[in-house]
Formats: sequence, structure tokens, C-alpha cells
Amino acid sequence: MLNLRGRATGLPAASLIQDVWPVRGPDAPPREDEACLVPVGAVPVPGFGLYLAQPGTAQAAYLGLPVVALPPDLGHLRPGDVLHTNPNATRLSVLWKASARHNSLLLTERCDNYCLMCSQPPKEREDGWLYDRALRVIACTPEDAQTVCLTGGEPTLYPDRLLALLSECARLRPAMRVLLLSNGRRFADPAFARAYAALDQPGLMVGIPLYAGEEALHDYIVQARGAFTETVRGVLNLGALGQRIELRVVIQKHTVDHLAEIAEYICRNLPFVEQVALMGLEMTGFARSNHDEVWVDPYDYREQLASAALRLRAARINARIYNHQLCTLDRRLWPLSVKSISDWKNTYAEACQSCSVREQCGGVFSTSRGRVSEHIHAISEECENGVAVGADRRR
Amino acid sequence: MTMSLAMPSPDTTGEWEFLPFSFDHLDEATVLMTNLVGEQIFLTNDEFDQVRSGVPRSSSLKRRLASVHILRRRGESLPVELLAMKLRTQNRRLAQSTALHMFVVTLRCEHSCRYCQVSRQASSNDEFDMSPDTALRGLEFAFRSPSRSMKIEFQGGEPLLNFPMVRYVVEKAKELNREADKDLAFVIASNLVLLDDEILEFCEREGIYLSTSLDGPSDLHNRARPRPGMDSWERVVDGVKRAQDRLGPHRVSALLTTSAASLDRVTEIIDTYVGLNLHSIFLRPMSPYGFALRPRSGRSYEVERWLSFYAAGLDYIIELNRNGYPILETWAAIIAKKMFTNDDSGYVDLASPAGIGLRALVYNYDGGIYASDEGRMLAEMGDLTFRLGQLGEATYDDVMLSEELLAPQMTSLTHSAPMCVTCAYRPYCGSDPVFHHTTQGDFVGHKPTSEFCQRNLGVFRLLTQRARRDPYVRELFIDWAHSC
Amino acid sequence: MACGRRPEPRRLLINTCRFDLSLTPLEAVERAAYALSASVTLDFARDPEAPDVLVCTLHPRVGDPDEELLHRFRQEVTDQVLRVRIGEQTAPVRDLIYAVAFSRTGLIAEVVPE
Repeated sequence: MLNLRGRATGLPAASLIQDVWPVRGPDAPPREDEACLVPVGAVPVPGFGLYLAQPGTAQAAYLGLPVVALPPDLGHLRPGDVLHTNPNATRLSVLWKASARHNSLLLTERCDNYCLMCSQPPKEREDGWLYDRALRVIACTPEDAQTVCLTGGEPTLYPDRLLALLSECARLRPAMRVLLLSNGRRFADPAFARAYAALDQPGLMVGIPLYAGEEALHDYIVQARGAFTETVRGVLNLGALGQRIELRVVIQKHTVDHLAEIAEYICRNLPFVEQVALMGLEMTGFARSNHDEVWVDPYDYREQLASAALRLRAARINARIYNHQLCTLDRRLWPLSVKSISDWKNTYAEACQSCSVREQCGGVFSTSRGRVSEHIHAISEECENGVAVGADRRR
Repeated sequence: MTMSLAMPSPDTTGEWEFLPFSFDHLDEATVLMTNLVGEQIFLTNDEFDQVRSGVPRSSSLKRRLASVHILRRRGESLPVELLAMKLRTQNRRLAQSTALHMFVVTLRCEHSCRYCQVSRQASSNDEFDMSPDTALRGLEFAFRSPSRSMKIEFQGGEPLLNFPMVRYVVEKAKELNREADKDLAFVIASNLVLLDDEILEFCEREGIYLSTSLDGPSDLHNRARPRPGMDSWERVVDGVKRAQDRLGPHRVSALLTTSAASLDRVTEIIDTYVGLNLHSIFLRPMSPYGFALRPRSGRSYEVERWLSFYAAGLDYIIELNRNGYPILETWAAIIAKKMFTNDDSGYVDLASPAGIGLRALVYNYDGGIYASDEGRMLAEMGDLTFRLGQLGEATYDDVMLSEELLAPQMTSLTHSAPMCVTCAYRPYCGSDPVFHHTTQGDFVGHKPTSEFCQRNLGVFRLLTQRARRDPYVRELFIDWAHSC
Repeated sequence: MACGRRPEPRRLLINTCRFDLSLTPLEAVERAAYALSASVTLDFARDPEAPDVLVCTLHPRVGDPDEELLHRFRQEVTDQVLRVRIGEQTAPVRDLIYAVAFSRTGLIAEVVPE
């Protein structure tokens, strides 16, 4: 787990010309729109717009330069990362980790769904500026950046800004894969769906949550009447336009007994989707406050999960298991399990120390603050030709 | 952080109404309901009693029925759109008529199989061979069909006895296809006795599939398929192996012709297939055509016996899969495709409108055009009902709009036939007017006594029950559905 | 023998059942008769006393009529009543589904991508 935020201390802060900074090493050619990460003992080369001093660096070296002292928590900062600063550079946050599997950019905190288990509860306030910031971040990412996840809130609530951002993304980083997380409702509008499809980006996929095969339950879970119909219509529109779609099923108390039904619904009505993510809960935000309403131990639903995932797989739909620990899964699902938890909030339980499949396992959310399966246990394996053959060893 | 719920629970209040459905008492405790396109849901008798008396009271039952499009909120349009889309997908082959074209390149055969009506022993003269002229007319006719995909199947007799004509048709078809640009495939249905290196090389080069007959262990096979030397089995086994070596395992398949003698020996039969490293088997019922209709041919077993044979075979095949040998039963796969997907494999005998003509056409050696292979066999027995015309005289449009084809099509639709119209398994079934004409004297048939109906109902119920009881089997069937 | 043999009670042949046609559609009874026609044939008659009542007389093709057969027939009629009712109730929406399915496309292209 990594801290992505910190307060700059110690050194006098400068008034800065911008808020989003690509981080460079000391040997990079100086540019005033880039930040330079200076190792302890090194002499800063003038010409960068911002200097990031490691803890313990002598102040004298920076006289006259715009410099902030990195808090120890941000010691993981590396060239290629992207940093956000407030105007007087007292607050720092890392918006992009070059080394991370996943980087997410928040586009808005507004949402027209209000999901019982939302890990990032919506806030109703004008925040369209986040799209502009996201665009600046994309422009600062390394040329070889692989993937980005665009998330919210509901990113389609600012349709024009979103389309402009996606289009710029493709222009700046044509090879980057983009996963857009949306509740899909806006795509029920054929004009918007067409405009989205007209971007014609092969690396673009939209991840859309579906929590039931009928409206009553889905609408209840997302706390919005009419949401199911709009979401399914949106998926149908996108499918008809040949767009790449991931459906996302968050598994919680209300969906757990309907997993087979949802899988069946997808196979029969939405068989054109590229993949289906079956997702464990992140116990933060509403999920934490609605704990009793939503929590169910993954170990207790492993059979339902297996039957849904295998149903999808038999129908040649790419089923993926997100946010689950291998020890809570039916072994037939191990090949479908994806290390999906962002590095910065990815951790392992104590029992995982001695586990032999830890490297293949997605671990747990640090943000769940210990609310994880009670059945997490180390698996001891003997490997034959690289194939795990051992049995679970329960503690 | 707290949140106040706008909806305190899933809301199933308000007015609901049924969408079209059918049902069957699957067993004493269970009712199967199917929606308009054949999606399944299982209810207890108590739950079904709620359905009998109207919209169910139970909120969870309402939701379950809604998710399979058997119930909707009054006026709700999404289920209608989805059902329409699924229906359109299932029927998309209607606009793509006639994908399968069978060329009977010769009636000659050196076998004298007990069930076969059509073959001729006069294997030296060419009186029963298709001429190049007829073959060319057949191809020109076939290429008139709108179907994007086109499979040409060589039939006999034994087609390899007239291999030059096979070669001619393949080469000519490829030539014609340069302009037509169809998805073109070839199958030779052969006993493989004459399979030599020259033929194998040709098949390899031209991407031709081989389909042969294998009835099981040698005694069973050789008794049903007499030929000089009584070595049909040895020759087919040898042919299958050589074809597998040369063409690859997926390019050769075998078909089983079930006889009364097969009925107690299903595991032995399947083991023969496994022993040959074959990964599919088609446990077909014996057809009521040709010699099969005559009492002395041994066709005295009844549907019930065949169903037991089929069930035992299917269960054995399931266990083989469970134990790591993948083998697909084709009949189950064809039905599973209809049961668990919106797609359809195009199988001729399970279609409404009937697959005759629309899905398959037969060009006899003499230029006669037939609606199906069985229709051709009937003609050999003197019944010309399904003879649609003569190559060189009738055009494709003439034939497809002919009374000879339309009458059996129109009268036998399962959407209007008594009992079919409300049958829970209608979306999986078909009308088969040739069968009913042969066995019952009219295109529709009397369903309560129809062997076709009894046999198919038996298989539909069997597959439904097996899939319901065992998730492994359900996944296996779905996997088959996507493999065929 | 002294005690003699008591005459066996004459076995009652139960082979009729009655349906009130104001409650049970005639079509349902006819369909049930068709469905079971492999094993039984039926006579239909109106009850002269109660013109709304249909009297069905069952004639098994093999053996004598019994309770079981009547039970099966009535059960079949019950199921057919539901089928008739659902068929009528859902006829408009069924027509609509077929219209949406086939009219827009004229049976060409545009299918659910698989």
C-alpha cells in the first residue's frame, strides 16, 4: 500500500505556474513545466518549474528555486510519475504512478446512481474542472503509458467534456488502453452512444455495472428508479455500435443469490459483451456505512460465484474475478482471477505471509480496513511442472 | 457517513402482466416454464399454483419471472425489445435460405446395408452416375441461393465410386465462388473403403471434410453393412485413422446408424468411438425411410427403447467428459444450442418452418431436385411428394416457391400445429413434414401418436433434467452448444 | 359352500366428467382431448338439464376406464385452461414482439451480435 497524498513541509514554498507536474530525474533537460526529483546530495540544475527535495536535502542548494520538500510518505515518487500541487504547493498528491498496473483518474464526484455499496460516495457539486485536470495529467504521462481508468462519480454527466477528453486521450496517447467506468445510463440516448462510438477508439472499453436481471433489484441497489432499463438500453446501443463493453457485477448481500440469474441474463440478452467482471466489495464509503446491508463473506458465496463464472465461460464470455483472494475461491476460478486492486491500496493479510500463491493473488483492499473474509488462509502448494497440486491448509 | 434510502427495498408493487410462456410438468415436484424464445425457469408446484391464479404474490417470484421475460410491468417495453431481438437472432437463417446442398454423384455402392433403399449394386456401368452436365446445372442452381455460407455434401451410393465427379464439383464450385464469394465448405459422406492417397491428398489440398458411418463394434457394424469380405468395419477404422493422420482429427467425423441390435450396446458403441480418438458421436434415431420401413428390416423397437438407449449413452458420454475425455454428443449439442443460446445450428429436422428446401436441397444423380435426403429415398420407393423439379428445367425461385415445397412448409408450422403451439419445448423443435408424411400420411401428423414428437419430447425432457440436476452437465451442454 | 360367496359389488364404471363452460373454455377441453388421444377417445354432449354443462365420456383405447384416467383428463384440462388463458392474454404482446422482430428488418441482417 502506498500513500498518494502528503503535505509539503520544511522548505519555503514557491508560487507555482501550474498544478499538474510530470516528475523528471535530475539528468533530464530542464523545462519550466516539469518537476525535478532531486536525490539527496545532488545539486539541482536550474530551469525546472518545480523541485522536489527528498527529506534531508540541504536547503542551501535550492536558494532562489521553487522547491518543496517531499514528506516521507511520498518517498516512493519516481521519474515518470505525475504530481498534483495546490497553488502554494503545500498539498501534494500523486495522480499517476508510472510503475503501477492501474492508474485511475477521477472525472467527477457527481452521480445519478446512489449505490448501496458505493466505495466513492457521490457529491453533488459542480466539478467539471476535473476533466481538464485529467487531460493535463494524460499529457504528462510517460509516452509508453499502457492503461488508464477513467472513473467517477458518473463521467457521462458531463457528456461534452467526456467526449473531448476521450478524443484528446487518443490523440496524445494513441496506444494507451482506456477503461471508462460508467453506469451506462447516458448511453441509452442513441445520439450520445453514436457520438461515443464515433470516437472510433479500438483501445477504449466501457465498464458498466449490472446488478440484476430485472429492474426492481437493480434499481434498489443503485437507488434510482428506471436505472436498470436505461443501463440495459445503453449496453444494447453500445453493442449495436460494436463498442467494447465490460459488465461489472459487484457481489454483495443483495446480488449473491442472483449471480446465476445475472449470468444467465447476460448470456441470453447481452451476449455481445467482451467481458464480465465479478467483483468483491471494497469495504469503504457507503459499503462501510451500510455494512450489514451489503457485507457477505466471499467464502460463503464461492459456489454461487463459481456457477455464474463458469456459465459465462461456457458461453465464451470472458469472465473475470476481481478483488478476491485465491483462498476464498473455487479452484476452477483461479485462472479467471485478476489482480485487480490498485497497487496503492493493495495489501495482504497476516495469514498471507506464508502463502505459496501470494504472488498470483490479488490480495485485499487496504481501504477495507480489515473487513475481509474470515476464511483467508495460507495455501501451501507443492508445484509439479509449475502446476499447483497442494491442498489448502486451513489455519 | 450515512445514507438515507430513497427505496427501502426492491419495489415490485404496481401492475404486472404475463408475457407469452409455455410449461411442462417436468417431474412430480417441478414445473418447467419457457418463455417465447425457449429460456427456462423451474418452479415448484406451489409457485406454479400462484401462476395459475394470476400474477404471483411473491415479490421474489415476480422478479425471477421478470428476469426471464415471462412477466413484465404493464406496458414495459424493454422485455419486448429484448424478446424481439432474440427471436430475430434465432430466425436469422430464414433470410439465408439453403446453406446445405447435397450432390448424389452416384447411386452405386459396394455395400448392401440393410437400412439403405437407394444404393445400386450395378457398380460397373455409369447408368447411376451424375454427369458433368447435371453437376454443373446443380452448382448453378445452388449458387442462386441467398445463403452467405454454402456447404456441399457428396452423397451416394458411395460417392468415392464416382470420385472424378467429386473432383469436378469441388473445382467448379471454387471457380464459381470467385465471384459469389460465399463461405464455402465441402463434406464427403463416405464409407472410406476407397479412400486412397490420391483422394486424401485432394481432401487435404481442398480443405474437404470427411463424414463416415461407424455403427460401433465390428460385429454390429459388419452385420448392418454387408459387403464382399464382410470387412466394412476394418476398412472404416483404417480409413478414419488415415484421414486423421493426414487431415487432422477435426476434419473427419463419424455417424452412427442405430438399429435394434444397437440398443443394448451403447457403451460399447461409444467406446469404439473413443478408441478411434473421435471426439463427437451422433446417437441418431433410426430413420423411418428406406428398408427401415419394412418389418423384416428389424425396425421393431419402440421410441421408449430408443430413449433408454439414448439416455444411457448420454450419461456415459457425460461421465467420459467428467473423467477427462472430451466427447460431444451431436444431437444434444444441436438441442443445447437452441436451449441455451439464441443461435441455431441450422439442423434440418429441427426447424419451423421445416428445414426441407430452406436449409437443404438434394440434387440426385439424374438431375432430380429433392427437398431432403429422405424425400429422395421416398422417391426411390415410388413416392414423389418431395420431388421439387428437374435441374435445367426449374429455377431456384421456381423451386422455392413451388407448391411442392410451400404446402408442407405452410401446413406444418409448429407455431400453428395442434399441441406444438403451446408446447414448452417448441423453440427447440421442428415440424419435419417428411417424417410425418411417411409415418402418418400428412404433413402435420397426429402429435399424440407421432414418434417424432414422442422421441423429441423425451430427449428435451432428458436434457433439461440432466442440466438442471448437475451444474457440471449444464456447463457441458452449454459448452457443446457453443462448439457446434 | 355353506357361507356361500357374497356377490361381488358391481364395479362402477366411472367414465364421465363434466365441465361448466361458463368457467372452462370449450377449447381447453378439446385440446385436452387431443393431447390424450393416443390413449383415450371422447364423446362430448350437452347436459339437457343444464345447457352450460359439457359432459365428456371417456373411452380408453385399451382396458376399462378408471379414476386415474379421469384424473389425468381433468388435470390436462386444468393445464389447457391456463394455456388458453395465457394465449389470449398475451396475444397482443406476442404479435407486437413478432412485429418488432421481423418488420423493422424485413428479415435482413441486424441481429444480436453473438
